[in-house]
Amino acid sequence: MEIPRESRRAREINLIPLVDIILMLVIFFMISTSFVASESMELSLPSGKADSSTASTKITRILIQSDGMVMVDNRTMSTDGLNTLLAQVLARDVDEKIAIFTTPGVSVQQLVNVMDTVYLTGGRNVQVDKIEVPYGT
Amino acid sequence: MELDFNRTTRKPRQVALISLIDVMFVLLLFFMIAGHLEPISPVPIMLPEADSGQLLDEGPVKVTMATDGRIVVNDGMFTNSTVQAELVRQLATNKERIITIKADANLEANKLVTLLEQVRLAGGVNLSIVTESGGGL
Repeated sequence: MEIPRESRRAREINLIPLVDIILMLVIFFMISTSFVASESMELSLPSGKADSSTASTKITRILIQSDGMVMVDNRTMSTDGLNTLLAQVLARDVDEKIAIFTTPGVSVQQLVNVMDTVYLTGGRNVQVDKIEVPYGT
Repeated sequence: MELDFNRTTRKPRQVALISLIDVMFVLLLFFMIAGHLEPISPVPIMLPEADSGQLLDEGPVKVTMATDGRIVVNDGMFTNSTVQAELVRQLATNKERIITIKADANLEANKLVTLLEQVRLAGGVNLSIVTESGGGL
């Protein structure tokens, strides 16, 4: 009579500590996990000097103004206008060099927006450089 | 009679722990799989948003730029003038090492380009800027 009782007792596991530990883990993962996916964009270095090898190939120069508008060939346009212009340029030559110039007052977000437009229209040959003279309002 | 009464009061007090554990396990698995752990940034950073970002391949050299001009290279704090020596040191073994730049969205883009120029002078070639995907998840 006593032997089956003892064996049944040993089989009962105390679940409360298990629940405690799992609850701690759940809270830890809830607090410390992030669901925002980080992505990356490739950046090309500024050439630093007038590149002699680019004499044969055309360069599209995009100048970002502090108000978020861009200037290409002395024409000021919005990001939408840049989109159509780049589509035309890249339809002619996919590997055309595109130089993006930042001016004082331009934020990284505005630079990334323009780079975004260039990459989304299919541009690959992108360089970033800066101009110390402020443009735009 | 007394014994019966005692039994009925004791029974509802027993909580079904197994189902609780089941639910917590599911939550635990969800947070472990769906989220990802990230090291806490030494300086507060708001990443710029972009649509054309690609899968992040984080390089061995991580550069973080805050809006107040602080630059963090692999947990070491630097300023604009001292960062170049550190970049040279990081790139001493291999110039091809991938440099991952985390720049705050509100940082002035010219400061980012200044850093790019310092990377070029240090001899770095592979670098990417970290962005956040635009539309939430």
